[in-house]
Amino acid sequence: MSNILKDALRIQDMFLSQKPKQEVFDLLLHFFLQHTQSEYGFIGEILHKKDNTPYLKTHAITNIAWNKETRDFYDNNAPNGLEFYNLKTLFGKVITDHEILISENPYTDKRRGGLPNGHPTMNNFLGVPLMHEGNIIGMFGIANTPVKYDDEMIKMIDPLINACVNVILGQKILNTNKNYQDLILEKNAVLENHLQRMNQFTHVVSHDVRKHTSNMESLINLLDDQESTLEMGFLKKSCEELRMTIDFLSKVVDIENPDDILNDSEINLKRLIETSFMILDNHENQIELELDIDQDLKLVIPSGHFKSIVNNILSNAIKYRDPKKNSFVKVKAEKKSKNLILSFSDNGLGFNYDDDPDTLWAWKKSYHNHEDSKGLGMFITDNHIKQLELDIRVYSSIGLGTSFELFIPLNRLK
Amino acid sequence: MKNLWVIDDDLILHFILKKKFEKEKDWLKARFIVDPTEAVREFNNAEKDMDNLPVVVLLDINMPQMTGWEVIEHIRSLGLYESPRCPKIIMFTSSISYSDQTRANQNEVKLITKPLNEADIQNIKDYVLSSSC
Repeated sequence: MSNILKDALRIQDMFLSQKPKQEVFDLLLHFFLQHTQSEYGFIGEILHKKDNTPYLKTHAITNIAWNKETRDFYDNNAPNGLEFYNLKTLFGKVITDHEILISENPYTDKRRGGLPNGHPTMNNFLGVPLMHEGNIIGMFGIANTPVKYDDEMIKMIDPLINACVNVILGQKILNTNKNYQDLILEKNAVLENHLQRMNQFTHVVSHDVRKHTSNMESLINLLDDQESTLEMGFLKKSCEELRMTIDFLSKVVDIENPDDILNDSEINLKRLIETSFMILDNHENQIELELDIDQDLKLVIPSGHFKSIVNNILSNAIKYRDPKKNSFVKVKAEKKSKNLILSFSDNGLGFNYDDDPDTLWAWKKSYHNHEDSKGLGMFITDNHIKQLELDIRVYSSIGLGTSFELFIPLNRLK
Repeated sequence: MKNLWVIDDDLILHFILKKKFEKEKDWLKARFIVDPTEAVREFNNAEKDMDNLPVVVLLDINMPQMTGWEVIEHIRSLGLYESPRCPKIIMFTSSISYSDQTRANQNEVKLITKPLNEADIQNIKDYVLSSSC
């Protein structure tokens, strides 16, 4: 294998094994100079300003500083890349024309824009554009070979040129990925901040706001004992409605632990339903709970969403009970083929269910003419069911009651 | 006479409960405590003066100085729980969050959610009546 090919492979290896970019480009420049016997040179990437004019940013450049000023400039800027905006130069010609440029006598070359005073002598110059899919992505320039820059020499170093194109492209992709990664991290931080504020909000609603409405309700009840007027009755009712709305809002957003939203956790089904029912019924025994669930039955499921589903179904059973009956809700869990079917059957008011699931879940109009029917609850429940990949069926009949069947895949069982 | 302590930073709640307990004056002696640390100090002295302790404590969960759960922890650390003279505890809270209910179950205490309705008041009275020392 020729030395040049070996060197080109070494460059690609270094890049793939994620050696520092600086090291890779420095060695690459060293190889360019070595194989062409050149004295100095640079490798750069072509970037674009906002107005789309190209400029050169070096990834490696020989230190040709000739005085303190240029030495300082090199030391301060070379590690991060020097940027060249003046394209009225030999290398600028390469960038604008996308063509190889060989100059035998740079000092008299019409294409040059002149070198600054003190710049080392330049006897000859080779500039090669690095092309990818018709676009120029970079270039390298070398100078002062004792032999001759010609097509033959360019052909000889072709493997190095290819390696150079690959490294610059690879570098671009890495940068893009890094940008996406940064973007994701940034968005994530914003989300976490939102979640934190939502938790704060939940706490304020479920405790601080609720505390005052509770007190108002109690105080009005005290007053009501003494003077029962129509106004007092309305005030009492408004207060009660306000508290119920706040209760509803807090239950929608009540999450013990934000991790519960997405992460599986182990829950005891029977205990979960008993607890939910206890909170909803608030010891008022508005409705009787009959449970037919094995007390050792455990699910592994994101508990936040699952609780919210159970909550919603149970609270509907309580809300839409038939005051003329001894109300109950029967909750039963049984295994059938691939699912655990958790059914909630009540003897409540029931509703007209025309077998179109959209009407139920979208709940465009509340199907009970109940003042506190809140379609939002069913909408959220539906979303949670989809997220947990569960299935639900509903049967209902006016005057008889409603039955929800929640299909839980058996792999959710512990 | 049965002693009852109400530990809650909410003065309106004190007022409401005073009204509710008015009719039970001849058998129920309720003491209202705003700052839970005051109650904790008395529990600390309980060894010397057991008779001073109430039969039932109504304990709010969210208070600025310390939470109701911290008060329970403290009583537990004093070893009072093993004593038959330990007051029965009813927690109450304005919030309706699950974490409170879960914690109440773990601590095996009753939890009442505000606002206190007539049934709650009756339950409290019954609880005090049935508790003896």
